[in-house]
Amino acid sequence: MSRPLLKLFLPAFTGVIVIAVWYGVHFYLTEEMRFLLPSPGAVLQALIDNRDTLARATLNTTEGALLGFGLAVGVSLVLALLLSLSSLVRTSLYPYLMALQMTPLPVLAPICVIWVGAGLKSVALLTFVIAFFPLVVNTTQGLISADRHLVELFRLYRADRAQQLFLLRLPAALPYFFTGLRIAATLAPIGAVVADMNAGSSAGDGGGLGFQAVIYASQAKYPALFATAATTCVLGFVLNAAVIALAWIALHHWHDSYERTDP
Amino acid sequence: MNPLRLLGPMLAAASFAVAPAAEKPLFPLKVQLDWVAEPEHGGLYQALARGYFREEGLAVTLIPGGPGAHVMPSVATGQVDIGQADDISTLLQQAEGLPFVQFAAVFQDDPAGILVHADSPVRKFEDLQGKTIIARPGWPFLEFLKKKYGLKVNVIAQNFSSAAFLSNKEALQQGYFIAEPYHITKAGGSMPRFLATWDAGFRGYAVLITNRKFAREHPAELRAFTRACIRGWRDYLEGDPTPAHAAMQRANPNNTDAFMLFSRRMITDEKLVTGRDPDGGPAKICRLDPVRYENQIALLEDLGLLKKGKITAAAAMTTEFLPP
Amino acid sequence: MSTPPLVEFRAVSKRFGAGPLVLDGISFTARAGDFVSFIGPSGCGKSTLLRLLAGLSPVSSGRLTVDDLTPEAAAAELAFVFQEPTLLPWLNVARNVELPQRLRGTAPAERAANRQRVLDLVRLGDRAAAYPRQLSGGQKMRVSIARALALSPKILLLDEPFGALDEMTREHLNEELLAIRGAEAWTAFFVTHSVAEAVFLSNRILVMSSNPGRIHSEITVPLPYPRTSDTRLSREYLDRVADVSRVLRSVEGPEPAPTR
Repeated sequence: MSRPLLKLFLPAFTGVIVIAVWYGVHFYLTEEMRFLLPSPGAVLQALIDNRDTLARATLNTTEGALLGFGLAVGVSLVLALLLSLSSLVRTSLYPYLMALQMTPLPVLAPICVIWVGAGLKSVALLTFVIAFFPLVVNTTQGLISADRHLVELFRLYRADRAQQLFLLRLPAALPYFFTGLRIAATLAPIGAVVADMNAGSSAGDGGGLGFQAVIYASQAKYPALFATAATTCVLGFVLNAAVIALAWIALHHWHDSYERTDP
Repeated sequence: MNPLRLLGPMLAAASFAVAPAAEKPLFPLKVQLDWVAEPEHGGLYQALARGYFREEGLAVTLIPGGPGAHVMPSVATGQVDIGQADDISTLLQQAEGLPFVQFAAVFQDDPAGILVHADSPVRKFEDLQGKTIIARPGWPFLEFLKKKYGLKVNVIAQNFSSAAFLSNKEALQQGYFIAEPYHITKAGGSMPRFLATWDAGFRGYAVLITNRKFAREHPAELRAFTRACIRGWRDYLEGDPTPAHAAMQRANPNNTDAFMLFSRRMITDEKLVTGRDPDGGPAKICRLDPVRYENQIALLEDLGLLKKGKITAAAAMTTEFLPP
Repeated sequence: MSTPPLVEFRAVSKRFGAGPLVLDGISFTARAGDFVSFIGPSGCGKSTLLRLLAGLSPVSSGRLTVDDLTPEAAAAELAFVFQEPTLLPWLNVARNVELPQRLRGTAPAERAANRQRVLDLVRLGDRAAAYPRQLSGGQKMRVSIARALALSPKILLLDEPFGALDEMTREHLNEELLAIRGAEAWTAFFVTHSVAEAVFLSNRILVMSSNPGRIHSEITVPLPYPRTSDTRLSREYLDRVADVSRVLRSVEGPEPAPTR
């Protein structure tokens, strides 16, 4: 089988096995306990039955996730430029950035609610919190990691600070930035859903996926809950794919990591 | 092997040696509470403190819950034997196939409702139109109100603190009528008003539930438990509540005497345990009425909150463990 | 005919911070058109010397002038070729070559003309759109040299530019370098480990000793320019190589004792 075909076939084949095992476990459970693992068919049915609610919820969560994500990108770029100035600045600021990163979202959520109100604003703010740390750290690393010889080259030609930044440091930091972006893209949907669970609001046209998950859980509508989980995964995949595509556009023509190598 | 690990079994063996040879070992029973230890669990704590459970041959452990209490999953999977919950939420979950059986009442009416600021223009349920309510998403009572009064409301996820209510004059929040008002006045707010479930024709119970397997396998223990529970509630409400309050304070140091007495007073004032209906009284403690269940199910089905035929009163509840 | 001195070292010494002397009392003069090679054992400071000339580091004592100016002031007349090609990987060959001009603010039309000129000089005119990762080591080095030449410098500084390449490529690039020099006429200062290379390229070879770095001796190479691959076979070339090797060995000191 040719390689691209193999790349499609293998995960699909594994998927079939997973679904078969899933059905097996479901019917292995006694009828009373089957609620523990809804069958794939029931999950699919719930997905179809609740498609309007889930579609709206997905839109809402995506909105919050993208807002928070975008904010994270902007703020982290500014912060990274600041941090790249000197190691003293980094030593002063890093512990506080880390403290923010390590505070669990459900603890920050009620604080966000009384500061900016529940709903989209809180979701965006909390998504920002979870996404910006990997971006800052990686971009800063990229900005300070420009090749020593290249830095000397720029000195030789008496480049000013602006030229150094735009022609050397920023392009050199790009691969690192995309590494951070990839991590942030994985975290952002998680952050948006957790934020929504704790600080969500049904104002406007309904809450997001997290809010919906709480409802389904409290009503023990487990097939719908599984469907919500699956939808969240898809959202994560899509965001990740978008970042990978962006990275490819920016880097593939020159970065070593895109070189074609034999298996 | 660590010698300390032998201590438990050694003490158990020693207690056997000390106890009269004729006594059966106590049957262990775990009860998951739906909140932190509070007077809503007064009957249970009184029964425990007074030894009523021990007299019935049961070694009961009361497990306090909290904001994240998972009564339903714990009971459904058998991790605990009995749980305290509200009957409507339980009905909705039973309709999804979860293997519960509701076997005894705690409150004849559900004291959950909507807290309203004293000077708020909201006076009746119709006034909730277009408002924002801080509540648990999916709260059945709210769904009921929306359908009954044709309301469109916004819901903000509940995080069970008074801070949000206090900081916003227009806030409307889901609360437990016998608890939150005290906390709010203690924190400096004026006594809030309360839109109660019974005022909207929503006659829910607070109940004790167990899973079907346990009910099948241990009917005698459930009867014993219910007997002790009834005694406990009677003694807690009519007698001296100190044993229960001391136990609740140990379980939750935030319980002050003032709060617990307030809460207990609200329970007696509103006849939550003995019943608001004309036939209320001590004989009603822990009793469930199948007719009320049938009415409730019909109401939920009419409002489209329950699929027709998914659950019947006979399947959802039982009186077989209550004293005749 | 004597030409005025272009570069003058007068008792130049260099130490880094409070460390030991890296260069001690370097004195020599170079004239326009010279091709000066520095050769010596590791640690003799030849790379440091080049960096002083480039103005990348200040002298600790003594006087160093380039065209009667300090190296910093003479920046416009200098160009540097590093050991590594140091190309910007995200720019293609054309943009890399144009970089110094962009930094100096040269107009786009002039930039393009200069770029074409130097790329043709290194015979990579048809690879202007390629990216560094698509080039071989030798090709990348040629781009680096083209970049250095784009601003038509008076002085070219080269720090072991061909050290990482294989013998054949190295010899070809040596010949190319001299061919370009024929067309462009800059003065060169070249650091190398290879005696053969030094003799082939230069008219003056300064042999240095180490600890601290000093100029031990100077050897002139009176072979006429232009030099080609045939030059490598000539008697005079081979004799010179032998001479320089002998001096170098004497500077390196006794052979280290064999380990057990």
